[in-house]
Amino acid sequence: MIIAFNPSKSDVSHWHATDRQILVRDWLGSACLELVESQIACGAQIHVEALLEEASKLQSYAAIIDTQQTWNPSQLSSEALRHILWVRCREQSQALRAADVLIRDENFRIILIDLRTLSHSALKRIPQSHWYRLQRIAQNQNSTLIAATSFPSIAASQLRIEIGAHLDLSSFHKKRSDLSEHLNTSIIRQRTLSPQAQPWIQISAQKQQEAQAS
Amino acid sequence: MFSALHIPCFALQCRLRLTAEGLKPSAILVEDVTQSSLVLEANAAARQKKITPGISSIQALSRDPNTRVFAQCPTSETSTSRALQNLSLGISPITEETRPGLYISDISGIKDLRPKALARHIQKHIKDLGLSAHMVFAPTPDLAEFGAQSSKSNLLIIRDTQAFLDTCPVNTSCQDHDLIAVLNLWGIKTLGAFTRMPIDAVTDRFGQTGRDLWERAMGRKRRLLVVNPETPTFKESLELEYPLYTLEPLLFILRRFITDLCNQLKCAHLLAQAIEIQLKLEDADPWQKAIQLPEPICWQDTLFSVIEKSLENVQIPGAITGLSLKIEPIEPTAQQRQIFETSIKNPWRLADTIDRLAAIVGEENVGTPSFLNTHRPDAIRLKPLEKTLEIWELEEPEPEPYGPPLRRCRPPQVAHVILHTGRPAYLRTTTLKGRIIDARGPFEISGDWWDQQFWKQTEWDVQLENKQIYRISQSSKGWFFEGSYG
Repeated sequence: MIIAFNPSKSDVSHWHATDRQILVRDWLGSACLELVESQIACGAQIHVEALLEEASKLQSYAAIIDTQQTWNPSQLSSEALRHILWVRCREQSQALRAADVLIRDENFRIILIDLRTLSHSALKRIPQSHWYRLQRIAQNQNSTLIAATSFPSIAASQLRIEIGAHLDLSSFHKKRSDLSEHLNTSIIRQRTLSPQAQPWIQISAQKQQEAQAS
Repeated sequence: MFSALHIPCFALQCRLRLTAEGLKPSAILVEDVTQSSLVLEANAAARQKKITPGISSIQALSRDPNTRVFAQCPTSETSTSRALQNLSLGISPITEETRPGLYISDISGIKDLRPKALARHIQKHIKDLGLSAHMVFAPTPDLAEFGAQSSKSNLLIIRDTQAFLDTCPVNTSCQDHDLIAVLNLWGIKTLGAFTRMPIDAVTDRFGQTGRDLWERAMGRKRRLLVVNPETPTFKESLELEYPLYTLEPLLFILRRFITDLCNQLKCAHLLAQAIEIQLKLEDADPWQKAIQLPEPICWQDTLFSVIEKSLENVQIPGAITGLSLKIEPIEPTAQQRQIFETSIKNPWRLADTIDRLAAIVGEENVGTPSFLNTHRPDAIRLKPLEKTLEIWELEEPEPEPYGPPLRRCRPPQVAHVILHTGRPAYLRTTTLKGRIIDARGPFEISGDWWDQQFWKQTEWDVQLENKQIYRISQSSKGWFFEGSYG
């Protein structure tokens, strides 16, 4: 995993494909991860879809809980799609209940709940105890809960990654992998980690220090 | 070589297997539970207390007040009989149900026959059914039958016919009471002594009945087994005396059905692949439901759990007056997983999860996305998640997509767009509005022109003042907001 780190590119905003692979592989089966979209259309969906692709490469099944039915599966590879269970919800309560059911199923190693369409007040109304409970179950079930939110709101998250970038129409001329490397991705929380996750965090911390120094 | 599987006091054992107490305490079977009803069958413990079939139930109770009295249970007898028939068919396809509780099979086709091992295998299944049985192996079906009726041990292998006949009581081998009475007067107690008489003398004195018994005992007359040509079905049904209004009593009956059917399946070495429940309703059409199981199994607890969950949220228009449960069997197949394929760890858990999710969001909103055979935007349907995924060998790798992914607005919102020199300049929807600072397009797409589903629309990717990128489209119905990028 250390080999994947390229010291020449020390900008923390560059989240390489290898980093993402390490992230997925290390965090599978250990935690609750929060992916924060700091503003609408900042590229968080690129990471979401890349995570799903990585999960399929690991021969794992993943579930997407789509709170407002916004996910567009046509942009994922056919191979990755076969590994995905799509749960289309109409309201927040349905999504939370679906997460509660899916997290207890050992068949799914990644459960992604998309809460980005929820307003600030709606997100705040979800009790933190709910997230802590899901996090504990995820740890016991050896699965990973990824919550995509529009602002930091899950206290139980062990890793919180914030993504913020301004995409423009010229980005339609760039490959998806190139785009993902130019997203402003930063770790804004690291908490109790599984021993397997340490190498990736060490790399990320090193990158952050280098970025601050520069 | 023939084998006989005999369940002594068959009807009583069928009734007793519904109770938890087993065979050991004294028990008798009567036609109906009244004082004058006659004892039909008595187990060994009851016979030790001099309770024999034919006496009245009040006499039986006077001889042993602790004797338990049971009425006949035809449904249990039918179910047990089916299970035993399946078990015998598992030994040999040429199997005869001589009478309820006695099954004779022709096992001459079995290579390297080891009677003791075969008997152990059968006895294990018999024990699972909650019964006790005698197994007899004999060179002729009649000797097997005689052995089954007279045997006091669980296993009897008849190798020396004359030695067996010398121990086989004549009164258990013949139904002709006059013949038995005469033989007893003569002091002939066993078939061995009977067969030592000259056949002509036996014929002169007893006629054809005596000759038949002599020839059957000596193996001179070998009868053919009467095989039941019907394929075994795994179905239980019940007409109720009183209608049911709630789920609990229904589940109670279904639990019994499942237990019986699983026993039948186990005896036939089969698994269940689908379940069909049919409920007869009062003043309404019958209600039925077919449940396809995620994997073939024969575990009664799991099958019952599946049925229980499928009936949890069902509302039916009338009271239940009858029910039937049918299991579609399948032969177990050995399947080895490939080393690189992906498979569901626990298919039962997955089936349960899918059911629960369907209850929350609706059945049509859970599944794996698959694309319809059209280029129409967002033409997607959901199909069940595949439980085993083989590695795909793609001839060409799929091209990497360009640009940020789209997050759709479902259904597309009606939008108000102002054009300037043929290009979108201002966008207003129910949720957002703003001046368009940049736009890509137009991208004209159309399809299905050969039928009435013809569609055509023009798409634009636009960036508003707030720097966000959206997709809008124009069709014959007007402008629509399709979603946002990123």
